[in-house]
Amino acid sequence: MMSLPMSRILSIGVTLAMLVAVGAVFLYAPTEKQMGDVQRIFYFHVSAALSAATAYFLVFLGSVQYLRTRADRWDRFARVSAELGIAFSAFVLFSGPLWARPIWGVFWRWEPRLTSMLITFTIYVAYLMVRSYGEPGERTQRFAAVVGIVAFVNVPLVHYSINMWAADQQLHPPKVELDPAMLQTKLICYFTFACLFTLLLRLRLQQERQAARLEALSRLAPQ
Amino acid sequence: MNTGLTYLAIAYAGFFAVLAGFLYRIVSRDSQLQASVDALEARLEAPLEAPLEAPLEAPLEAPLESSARVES
Repeated sequence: MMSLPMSRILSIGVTLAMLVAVGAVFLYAPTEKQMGDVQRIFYFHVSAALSAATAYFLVFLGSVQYLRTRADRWDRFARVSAELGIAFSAFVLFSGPLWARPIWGVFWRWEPRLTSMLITFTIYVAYLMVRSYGEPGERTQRFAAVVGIVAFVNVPLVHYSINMWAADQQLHPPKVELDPAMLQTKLICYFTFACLFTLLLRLRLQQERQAARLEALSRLAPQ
Repeated sequence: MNTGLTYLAIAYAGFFAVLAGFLYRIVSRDSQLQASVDALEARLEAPLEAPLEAPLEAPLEAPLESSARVES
């Protein structure tokens, strides 16, 4: 729970790191000459995308481990990771169009990276729906684990979509040269998001363990 | 106001609003779960304590009464 020392330390650390990151984004990083202030969206946008990719990898890992061991804890780990992946992806899909509107003139273009990101997001939403609509038990957990493994195939596609499709279809640049202060800000944001991700994962896992304990106690308690 | 700044403000405000909502949800569900676990644990512990107290009084008297009845 929140009262556990490790979670408390992590919460304080994340708060401080977030303050530093926001300070770096708005006060330290210079304004990009062509795009202007709206470019500052990218520091959190890219960090969130990285966190989402990490979360989807953890879904894959949890699913493989569940199929190997059939231990409930791996199933919970995969589910919680999927939730976080969806949350971070939702921010990516929300902040990207906000950057695109003043730069491209439209909120959305069906270009490879945006489309593959949207498909990945939809697949993981479907993954959680499979879990919600299926009857609780081993069968649904096994099925969800298979979906969790198959869904991960799409994640490298998002990353490599820039190289896999023709250059004339791309709007995302393959490589961006950054000013040193911009690069430092980007790294601070990566670190902050990694800490935030760890904290949220930890809190949600503790909560799921508590929920499992409650379920076990409910079975023991006299009606 | 600069359009870019407006979108920038929406993006960051949206991020922190959702993060606050997510954390609030975790914390409120956490306290609900804790309350339910405490209540269930209390229910489970109650019948366990009763049989421990009862044998201290009852079995000491009961055999005396029953042996008295047999004698009479």
